Amino acid sequence: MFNKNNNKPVKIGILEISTQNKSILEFFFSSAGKTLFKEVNVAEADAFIIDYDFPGAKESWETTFNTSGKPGIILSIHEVSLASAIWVSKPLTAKALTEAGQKLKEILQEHKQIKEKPDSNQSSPAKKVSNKEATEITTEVLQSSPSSQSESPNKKPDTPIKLTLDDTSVENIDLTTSQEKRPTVSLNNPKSNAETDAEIIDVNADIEFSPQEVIDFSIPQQTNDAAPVIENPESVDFLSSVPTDKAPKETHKIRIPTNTKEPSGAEISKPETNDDLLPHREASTSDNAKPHERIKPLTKLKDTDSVITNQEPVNNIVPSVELPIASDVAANNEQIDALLESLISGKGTNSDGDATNHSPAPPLKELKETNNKTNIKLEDSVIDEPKGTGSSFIEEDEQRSTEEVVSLPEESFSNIILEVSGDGTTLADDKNVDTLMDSLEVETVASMSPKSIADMPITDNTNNNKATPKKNASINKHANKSGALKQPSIESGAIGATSEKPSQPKAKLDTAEGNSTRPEKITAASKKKAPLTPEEELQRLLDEIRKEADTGPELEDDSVKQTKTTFSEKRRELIFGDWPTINKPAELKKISFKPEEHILQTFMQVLDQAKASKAVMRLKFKNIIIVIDIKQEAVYCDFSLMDEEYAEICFNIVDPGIIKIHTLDKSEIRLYRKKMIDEPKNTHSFEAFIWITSLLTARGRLPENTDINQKIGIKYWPNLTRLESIPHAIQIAAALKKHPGSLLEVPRWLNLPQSAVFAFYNGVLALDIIERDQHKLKSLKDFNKKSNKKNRGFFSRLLKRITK
Amino acid sequence: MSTKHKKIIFTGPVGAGKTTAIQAMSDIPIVSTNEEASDMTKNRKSQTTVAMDYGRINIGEGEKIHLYGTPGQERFSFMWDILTKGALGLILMLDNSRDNPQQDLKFYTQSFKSFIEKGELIIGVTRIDDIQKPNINQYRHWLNELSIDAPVFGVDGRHQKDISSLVQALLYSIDPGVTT
Repeated sequence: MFNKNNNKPVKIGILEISTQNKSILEFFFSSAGKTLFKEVNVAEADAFIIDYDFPGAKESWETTFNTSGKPGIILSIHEVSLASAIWVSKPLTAKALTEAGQKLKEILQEHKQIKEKPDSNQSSPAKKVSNKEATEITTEVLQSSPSSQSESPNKKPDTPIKLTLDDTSVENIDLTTSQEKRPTVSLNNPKSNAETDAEIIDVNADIEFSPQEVIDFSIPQQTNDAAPVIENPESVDFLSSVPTDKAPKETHKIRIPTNTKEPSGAEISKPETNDDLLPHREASTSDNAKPHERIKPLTKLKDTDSVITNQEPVNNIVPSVELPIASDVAANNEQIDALLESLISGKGTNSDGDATNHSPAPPLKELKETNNKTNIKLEDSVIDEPKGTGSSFIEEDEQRSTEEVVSLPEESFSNIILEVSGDGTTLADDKNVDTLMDSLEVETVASMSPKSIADMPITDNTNNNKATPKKNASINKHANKSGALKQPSIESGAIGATSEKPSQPKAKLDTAEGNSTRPEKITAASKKKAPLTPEEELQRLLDEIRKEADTGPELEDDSVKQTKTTFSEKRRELIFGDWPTINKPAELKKISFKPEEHILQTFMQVLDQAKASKAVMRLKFKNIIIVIDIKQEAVYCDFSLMDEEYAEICFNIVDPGIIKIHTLDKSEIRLYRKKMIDEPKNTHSFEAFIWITSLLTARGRLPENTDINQKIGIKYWPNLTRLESIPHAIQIAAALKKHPGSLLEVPRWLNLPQSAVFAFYNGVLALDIIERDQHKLKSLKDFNKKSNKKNRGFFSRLLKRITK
Repeated sequence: MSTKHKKIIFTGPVGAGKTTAIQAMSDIPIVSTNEEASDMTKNRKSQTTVAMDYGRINIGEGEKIHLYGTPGQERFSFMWDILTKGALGLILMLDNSRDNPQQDLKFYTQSFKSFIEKGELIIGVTRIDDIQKPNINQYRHWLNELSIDAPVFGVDGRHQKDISSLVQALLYSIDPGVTT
């Protein structure tokens, strides 16, 4: 049953799709899926692939499907059930794509078979095609009668016309037909899969469709010969343009609503005659079937009648066709899947998880061979012969600055393997996987040639990094694409300026061009030692890296640290205050304040006003200016929020009457927007401004009338990384998000000072993210100090480590 | 001597800053398997991670936290389940400058659905300081639509403090009662 075309790849057109998925498909088409798919332009495609989750994809698929009728593969994270579409779940796998490709071939093959056996379907009743997405009407121009078919063999081939009718396009269709020219309108019932008989309808009448309605145009099986109807057993998906080379038909003039135009602008779709098109089209164009073989007479029809048929889904009428398994595809899939699995298996670890046991790893050549079938190019990393610098690798290395690249030429550095060590158990067993992955260590293992590492040449094509700090100079090495030395990335360069910790050197296996970089620490003492074997040299480097990692980051200069401590203590006082602990509501008076007496209240009112009027508004109080720009969603201040003066303004009682509020005109808006750009440090998000202002206002107190016994939670986490950091905020947020509690309970649970919890409460209160709905809070578990204790000690040490 | 080993997984699309984030936290030079980027990835950076990134936080006395970064491309998604087994939690890094961050969020939360149902998810949105739309509120809204309750933070992967906040949020979400 197979012809040579069956083994040809399906010409596939990619419709709406994310770049990420497109890259996956392109990779798949060029490797494992090569025998299944060939990517072509959409116009030439036999079938399509579309990412159904992509914005606008559904509409695009409807349009494409309705205009072309071609099948497709739909990629989606949710199950999609559409006629003539094969759903492939995301994330994509080679296996799923292969299976989909084979199914697609089956569909196309089935269609072709149907074309080759039109007679077998003549006695079958017409069936509906289920299509949830669209209602499709296909009109084909027919001869006016069977006799005219046979009597007019030399007439032009008919031009099948396909109309896509949706809820807007089909209304008031006027299919004006002459007696000689009779369109057949095939209409798919979008909801019913049941077989139906044909019936005659008057297409001159207005037809109104609603997508929600079940449209049941039944057509009797046996019909009048005088009114032939195409009884195409196939889904209309494939029907759209089936020209016949021997069945002369006349072009039928019908009035087509303008909104049935094809995307190209053509009013109706034209049949394609290119033999390279869909298999079903190949069958069609080469089909020797006579008109009467493909056109089923319809009884009880008048010449002036038009007929709507329901057609049978392909899958219901054609026995499934078994296709040969693409063993090469499967093999490729296995190789692809095996590739990276090999990277995370096969090594044992010692008791504390260090990968010191270099048990046999997959030979790199095997990996390389495997990778040649993918786009992962793991090349053997080797070292060139020394190129006569005369100086040792170590000496040269010390002369270079940070982030340089050591180019490791080919001959001597035979293997650099990314080795992931486990306990030798298999990945198939979940328990073992847990054990394995928990103890995973990744080490670079250099299996070198007898040449000393000191002989390794250094490629130094750039001298632009002389100003780079010498610290970690010998460790942090990056290889770029060409193997040339390069500056650390912008990111790593910026780390030093912005993070509290110096940027970490990065050991890297650059597999792109056979170059390798590796972490290393060269000491002065090491220069004087006798040359080590390559294995010893590398092991020493790794040991030094580990030691350095164990020592942690260097301490800051004492004076800097002292200054920071003083500042943070001062700031802490301004945010937390120094108030007595309260234990009952009656004591609240000791630490309460009236929000309406503070500038925060005025700001919130003006913010609401600005939101309502969409105006840019300015508050002026004493010598400070605050501008609220709704469009920019930003607040501009002509001072720093860290100023102690602002903290005092917030904390002190303010008469709202002396705060000047002004709506800015265009020139003033321009002025302040320029300032926003010029002074980003004084421009804040609403959330950040409200957060800090509320903290400074409350200074560890609570608004009067606060119910300190009411259980509260938070609706969502505040964006704490972009708000002024206060101690314990993350812990309090986590507690309130998971375990609702009162303002008296939470500090006790977490063993924190009340002021920390109260400060956090004020912040989230001002941000309006307090959850007080007790029904919602009931679904959350109560805090249990004894639960989750399993890792508490470990977590505690980890938190100390990462917050110091 | 304690020999506790735990792991945290960093995932997210290509160029979201997973490698940088691990680099910011790791006590050792991170081990990467980088490859010359092809296809669309090339538009974002010259090299991209295949297989995984690995970093480590040494706590002392033999205790370590392993940091794994998944490759961003979907074609390596078969590794994701393996990597997340036994993990403390998942940190999803999203790039606000990408064409459709909502789609990324949807994709990765769906891909790691089985893990998220049981474990902790923390979301860090990078480049949100430069590109303010969509903002954090929109991410919260999208998560709400997906019926996922997870904290979202704007982060700069290069800032250790930001990434540390993600890890802290993860640990405190597992056990708010832990003390330092």
